[in-house]
Amino acid sequence: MNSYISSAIFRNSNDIPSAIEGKNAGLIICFYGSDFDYTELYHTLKNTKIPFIGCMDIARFSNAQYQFETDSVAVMTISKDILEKVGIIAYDMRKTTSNHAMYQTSKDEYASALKKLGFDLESPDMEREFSINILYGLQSANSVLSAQNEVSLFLQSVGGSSGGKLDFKSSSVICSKGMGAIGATAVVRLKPEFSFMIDRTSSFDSHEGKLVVTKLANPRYILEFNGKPAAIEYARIIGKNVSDLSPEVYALYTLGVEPGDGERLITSIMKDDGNNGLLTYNDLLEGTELSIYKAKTQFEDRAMKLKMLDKEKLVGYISFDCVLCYLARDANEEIEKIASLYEEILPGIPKIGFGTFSENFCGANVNQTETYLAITKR
Amino acid sequence: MRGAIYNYLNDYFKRLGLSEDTLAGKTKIRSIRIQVSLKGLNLANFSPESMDNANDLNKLKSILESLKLGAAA
Repeated sequence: MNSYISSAIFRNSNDIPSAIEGKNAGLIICFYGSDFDYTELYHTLKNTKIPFIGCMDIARFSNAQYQFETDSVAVMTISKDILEKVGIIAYDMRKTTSNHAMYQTSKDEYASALKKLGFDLESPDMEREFSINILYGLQSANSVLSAQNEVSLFLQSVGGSSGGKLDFKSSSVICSKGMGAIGATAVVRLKPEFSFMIDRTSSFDSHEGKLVVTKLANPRYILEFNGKPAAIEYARIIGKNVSDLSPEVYALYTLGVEPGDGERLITSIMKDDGNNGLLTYNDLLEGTELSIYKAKTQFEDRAMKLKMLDKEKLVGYISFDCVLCYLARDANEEIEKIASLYEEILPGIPKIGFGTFSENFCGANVNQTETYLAITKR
Repeated sequence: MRGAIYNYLNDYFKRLGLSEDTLAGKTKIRSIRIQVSLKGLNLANFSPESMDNANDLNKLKSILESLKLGAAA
């Protein structure tokens, strides 16, 4: 542990203020289970007058443990000793809110906050300025991310969409500016002695074949691949029958595009429509040629990325890790093995994270990926 | 046109004064690449050796123009 960032698990909101007293906190990030009283948590944190963002999840990560219980909250405090500026914005993401309204409101709020904080929209400080997004998980993140890209393409962002139970019926986001079906963004400038890195990890092997999106009913509803019914063509290319398709198969054989520099932007299939159409967790455009990937163990890729971090200088690690990755670790009995990996490679460094309903990475909404923010002392 | 997409993108980065030699340049290039991919051009399919067609090159030009990054548009 260090004096700049700390994280801990709580079962009662009332225990938080005394635990964070004396930490000179300038920003609080928290992730809570679906049975935790988030209204009480919101009011408790609001009373501290410290800026905060957080959300409901299905499982969370704190230091060396994945926590699956639904009645706890993981809390990370980031000291003012690290932070030069912090701004919190919130925007309406209710299911009744149109994509255009979310786009416009989040764009206006984001632009206003960045200007107020004195950020150069065209040329932000790439080593000290970034945004953390926590978006309402029952709405598409794409309109908010598009808006942020319009405001400042080069300001790096990281984050994820809130979760809850796997029935996808309830979720919530809290922040200093409100709570409920909202999106929240913390805009941060670090002090000159500190810097950050945003990166991602996904664990897939390339699979042969391409699927061109030739007909969409809407951005998350594929009717045709390669000019043929989507489920039939997807099944053919992965060597299965349509009757074999299931959530497990969709998680095993996923889709994505590549920016050409080794990154992979994953789009997962959620389910079929019963009529050979496929629904996805991410927006797509007609004409996009998707690569196909087969999932593999997360161990090697995560170990490689964690080892690239300078543990001597690292002061905190914030993870936004797809709920499908949490479930895959569970299915592969890798929960302990991978949780231990973080502590073995980054011993004593405060870590926090949550199981996201989608992740964001530098303006892109992605699935089946861990995106992360690492803060280092120069 | 062999390597048309690869070459056009690299020229575009140069015109913007971006280089992979600095963290800032590398990160800005990453952001541009991500946007190109999100807007429908899967850069996994293009390399210095790929035989690229005019439609894809026009699509790339149109995407880059939509980013409104000034000097290189």
